[in-house]
Order: sequence, then C-alpha cells, then structure tokens
Amino acid sequence: MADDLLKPHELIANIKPRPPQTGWMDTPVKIRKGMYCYASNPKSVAALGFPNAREWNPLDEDWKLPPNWKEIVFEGMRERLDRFRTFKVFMDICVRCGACADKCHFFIGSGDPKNMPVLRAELLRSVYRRDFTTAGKLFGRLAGAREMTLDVLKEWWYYYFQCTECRRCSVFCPYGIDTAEITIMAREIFNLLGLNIDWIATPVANCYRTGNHLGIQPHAYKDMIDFFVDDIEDITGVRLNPHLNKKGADILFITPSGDVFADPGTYTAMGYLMLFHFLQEKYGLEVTWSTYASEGGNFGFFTSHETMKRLNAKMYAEAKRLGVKWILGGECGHMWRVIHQYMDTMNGPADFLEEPVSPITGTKFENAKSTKMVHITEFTADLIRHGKLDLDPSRNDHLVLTYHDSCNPSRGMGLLEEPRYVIKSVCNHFYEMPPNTIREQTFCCGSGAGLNAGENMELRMIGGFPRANAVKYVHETHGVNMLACICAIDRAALPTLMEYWVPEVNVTGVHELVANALNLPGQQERTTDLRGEPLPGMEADDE
Amino acid sequence: MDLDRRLRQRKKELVQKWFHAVIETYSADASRFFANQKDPFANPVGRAFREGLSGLFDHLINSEQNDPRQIGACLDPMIRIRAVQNFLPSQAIGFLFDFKKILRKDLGDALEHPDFSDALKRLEERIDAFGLIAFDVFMRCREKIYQLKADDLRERTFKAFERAGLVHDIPQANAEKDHYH
Ligand code: SF4
Ligand code: SF4
Repeated sequence: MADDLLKPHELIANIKPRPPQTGWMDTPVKIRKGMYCYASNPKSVAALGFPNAREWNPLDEDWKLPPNWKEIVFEGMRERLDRFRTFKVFMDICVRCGACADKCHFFIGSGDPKNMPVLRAELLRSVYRRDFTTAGKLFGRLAGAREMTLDVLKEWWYYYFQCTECRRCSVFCPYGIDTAEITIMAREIFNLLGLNIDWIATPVANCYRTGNHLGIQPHAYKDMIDFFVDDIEDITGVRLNPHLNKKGADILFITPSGDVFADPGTYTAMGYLMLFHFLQEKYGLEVTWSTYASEGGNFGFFTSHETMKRLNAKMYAEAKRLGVKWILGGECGHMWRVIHQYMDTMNGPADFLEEPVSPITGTKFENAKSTKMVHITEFTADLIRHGKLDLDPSRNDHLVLTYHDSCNPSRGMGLLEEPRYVIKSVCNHFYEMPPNTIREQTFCCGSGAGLNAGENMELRMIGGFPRANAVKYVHETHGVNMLACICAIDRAALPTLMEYWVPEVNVTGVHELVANALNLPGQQERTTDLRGEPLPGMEADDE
Repeated sequence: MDLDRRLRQRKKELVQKWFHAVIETYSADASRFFANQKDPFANPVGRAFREGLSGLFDHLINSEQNDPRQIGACLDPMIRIRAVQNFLPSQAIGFLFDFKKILRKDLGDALEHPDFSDALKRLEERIDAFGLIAFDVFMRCREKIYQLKADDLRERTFKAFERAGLVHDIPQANAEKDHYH
C-alpha cells in the first residue's frame, strides 16, 4: 500500500498546474473568485430603467436571462455595427499580427491568454464572423467563427470585465484597433441582458439620483467642504470662503466626488480650495463649486453611450444655470475621456459659454475651444509659467516624487507635459519611471473602467503589477516615496496597489503638492503639510 | 570535487532550467512571453523569476544562510506574484521543490558518489526548509489580500467621513455583502 504512495517530489510533480493546452475556443471559461465583480443590484438596474433587473450570481449555472437572449445579443450587435463605424472596422481589419498581444497589463501580470488584447477582441469577433460575415457563415470554425452559446456569453462577461479600457494595446496596433472600444460595445450588450456589475450599476444609479457616485446629498457635500476649510485654517491660519453654487461666478469647477469624499483625494480637494482662494485674493477670480454637478466621474461611460450622456448632461446644465464663462475640471481620468471625446457632440454645443481664456494670464486654451472645459493642470501650469503663483517648493522636500500617467489623460487626450511641469515647479525631488511605462505607454492602475471594487482584489493586484513594478524600481533606485497622479480612480486604487507591492510609497494628487508649496496671503508659518505631517525641519522633538 | 563547487559552476544552467520549470506552469502563450521578453519593465513576472531564482539559488547553496527573514525576502517577490495568480497554494509554492528534480537530473551518475549523495541530502533538506518559509510568505500575501478586500472601501471613504464627523447614512459597502463564496 505504502509503495503506492507518491514520493513527495512526485506528488508535487503531479499537482503542478497543467494549464490547458487546448485551443482557446475549446477552453471553457472558469469564473474564479477574486477575478470578477459582484452582479448588479436589481434596484440599481431598475432605477435606470434597464431591462432584466433581478438578483443573480455569476457563479450560478443559471444567469436568469430572458428566453430570447440570443436574439437580443444578435440585434444588439447588429445595431451597434450600423451605428459605430469603429466597431465594424475593428471587427473586420485585425490581421492577428500579435503586436498588441503582450501589451495588456492583465496579460503581462496573469499570463492568461484571453487577456491578450487580440484574443479578448477575438472572443466577440468569432461570433461576429459567424453571424455577420459570409465566410464565417459558410466555413464556420475554419474561418475563425463560432456560435453564440451561454458559455460564450459567460466568457465574454468574465473577460470584458477584465479590461480596464485603458487603450494601451491600441498604441501598438499598426491599424489603431482599440480593444477598449470593443469592450465598450460588449458592456453595452451586457446591459441589454441585465448583466452589469454592481460596482458600476450602483454608482450610476446614485449619480442619476443625487449627482454623484456615492449618493451623497448636497448638505453632506457642503459639510465636507466646510470641514476642509477648518482643516486648512488649522494648517495655514487662513480662513477660506469658498463659493458653492454661486451664480455669476467666473468659472464653474467640477471634480470627481472621490476628491471630496475619499482619502487621499480629499487632500487634493483641499489643494483646489487653496488655489482658488489665492486666485480670488490676488486676482479677483471667482471659481464656484457645485453641489448639483457634484461628480465629474461618469460610470455611465462603462455602461452605455446613452447612460454616459445622461450623467454628463449636468455639467453644461449647471454651467448654464450659474451663468459662468467656462468650466474648469479637476484631476480625473475617465471624466476627461468623456469630456474630451464625447461631451461636445453628446450634450453640446455649449454656445452659451465663452471660449476659455485665463483671465489672469490671457492664455487661450485652444484645445478646449469647443468643449469649453479646461483641465486644471493645464490651467495651473499656465499660471506657474507666467509667474502668477507664489510658491515655496521646499515644503515638499520630504517627498521624493514620481508621476503615474493616468490612461485617459495621457492616451486619451495627450496631457503629458502639463502635470510634469506643475510637479517640477512645486517639488524639488522628481524622478521618472522607465520610459516604456509612462506617457503614451503608461501602465494602467489595473482598476479602471469600473473595476476598482474590493471583491476582485486579485485581478486588481495582478493587473496593476506592471505599474507597481516600475514604481518599485524608482523607489529602490531613487528613494521615491510618493506617487503622484491626476485621476480620482488612481487615488482610490493606487494606495491599495502600493500597499500590496511597494508599501513604502504613498499616493497624492498634483494639486495637493501645489497647495503644500503655495503661499497664501496672510498665512502663519506652516509647520505641517496638508496631511498634518511635519514639514522638514519642523519635526517636534521627541523629548 | 565537492557538490558546492560543482553547483556553483553550473549555476547558470541550473537556474535557467529552474526558470523554465516555473514558467511551464503558465499557458504556452504566457511562458513564451515570460521567457523571451527580456525588458524587465515590459515583463515584470519574467524579471521577478529570473532574478528571484538566481538569488534563491545562492541562498540555497550557502549553508551559512539560515536567516528565515532574508530567505523570505528573496522568496517574497516570486510568491507575491503567484499568490494573486490562478494557482492553488500548493501550486503557488510548488516551484521550489521542482529544483530537487532538476538537481538530480543534472547530477546524473555523479549521484552515486557517497560525498555527493550526502551533500545532496542536506541540500534537499534545505529546500524543504525553504518550502516552509515559502508557505509563510504565501500566507502573509493572502492575508494581505483579504485585509485589502475588507478595508478597501472603508479605508478611503469612511475614514474621510469620520474625520469630517459625517459618519451617518453611508450607503452599505458591497465589500460587506456576504455573497462571496
Ligand atoms: S484596453 Fe487596456 S485592458 Fe483592455 S485589452 Fe487593451 S491593454 Fe488590455
Ligand atoms: S496589433 Fe492590431 S492588427 Fe495586430 S493583432 Fe492586435 S488588434 Fe490585430
């Protein structure tokens, strides 16, 4: 009997993972915990008037789909192929050259071949071929076509919710195929069947009801701002008097609610407040916040074009109501993708607004001419460039910075230099991460496009690993202890990522750094930064 | 010649074989990529195993090295990756024991030599001891993941609310729903 037992090393050999060596079409999906987000809460689905609101669990065999679900998928695809030229083109032109294959952070981290962008797209394309191309209809599998089945749908769901729509793959594709757009289409189709994830569906429902993802009501918004004002007074001795919903202000300021309600974004929000106070005192500029347009972020973008449009509408509506000249936008990622690429055509033209010009420097923000909305790092960079801010960068001397290009501002709108210029103007110690991990080639935080939930932590950690690996490198070689970013999801997701991979590094928004350096008129001697940490040379004696 | 010297001479080949044993635990597409992409930032998993196994090899053959913290620190970057990839715990740390097989195969007939076989036995015992340390590291990583899952939302939002004295009517966090099985 004993002889039948395996020797320890043989036992190990036998439990060595044997990854499936079958072709991808023959490797059925296995939904693994830690890699997916919980199913949408039916109340949230119903609140938006989406179909098939019900309790369901991705791990169950039965997803409680409508009986004609295949027809819905087919029709949904057909409609989108007609409506979106990009989708149709991306379905047709991939030559499977493989240039994108190893560029996705989820593949780089997990090694799961279905996270190669080419294969991620192929999941949908194979069905497209069978249903919408002659070759596919005639030759089936030979032409890379396959039939839509429940397993295929589950596979779609699992892998299109493992794409952060970061577009890194598209940078390397010789045809410019953007897998993010394919993911966007897939997620639209899921919503036709009631298959959203809750981390998206509930923020969207909240946003639709109260204006922001957390469902915070106006009085709580104001309470938070008041709390910041108290904190800033403690630190600087200056009492701010920010404007909320002020009619006739020069500029409306809109930022993701994460800046107001979640650490460490809150310090960035304090940074904005201090900057606006300085500009009012020095130059008489009036910037107002809004408790109605209390969310710059837009998880509707991860749901459907229509939902994105509904949630975005409040930006122009509020600007109109308040009668401002133009809109200034805070540090956010996907918010800017929506503003930069969709807002004007979706909810514009905002012809009641002026083409944005900085009243302080006279600079025309040409690229915001049609949207009428300026990115705050561009606005601040311009102020610094013209010597309009009074800065003492030594108050950031305890920080050794690096900068993470958030996917959307970098790849989505080309905002590469401005944040760097601001950081270098307000901090003395800055080091770049390796070139193939920043700027257009930046690695995603691994939690974008609505995937920054808690239950999919393994997915987030493995997807964020290439980013963390580069941070670790600058930490080890230059002593970097602070990772700056201009995205609210980053500020929420990166601290967790750092805690797992590089716990010595913290995360900050750029305007927190600006405010640390900014001298406010009439301030007391500053002894701490915005986080209440003692400034260099100001550490209290231990004895 | 003693085993130590022989191993030192063959370090490159042995570590290479070990590396390949590890990356074979991934899909064909992935192991090709982990092996061939040499840029450490484009391929951080490959980098972690290349560097990690080489360091681990040095610790293994250095019989003076008995500090679990240092050995753990060497194992950490590799185990940390496998702790969040699609592996069972046994699979996540199993690669350590693969080295026994690689060693025996590499030594071949030389194993018969009594000097060698004793030294090999001691080395295998070290591998087992390292395996136990690897298990500790693995558990630390998993515990961290569970803690991050539980804290994620609370840490960021609830703390800000608490500071502001606003901890009333906060929407229930999904992280606290109990349908995670
Ligand atoms: S868009 Fe980003 S996450 Fe999606 S497949 Fe491309 S690289 Fe991967
Ligand atoms: S790089 Fe473009 S053409 Fe090449 S496989 Fe990827 S998507 Fe297809």
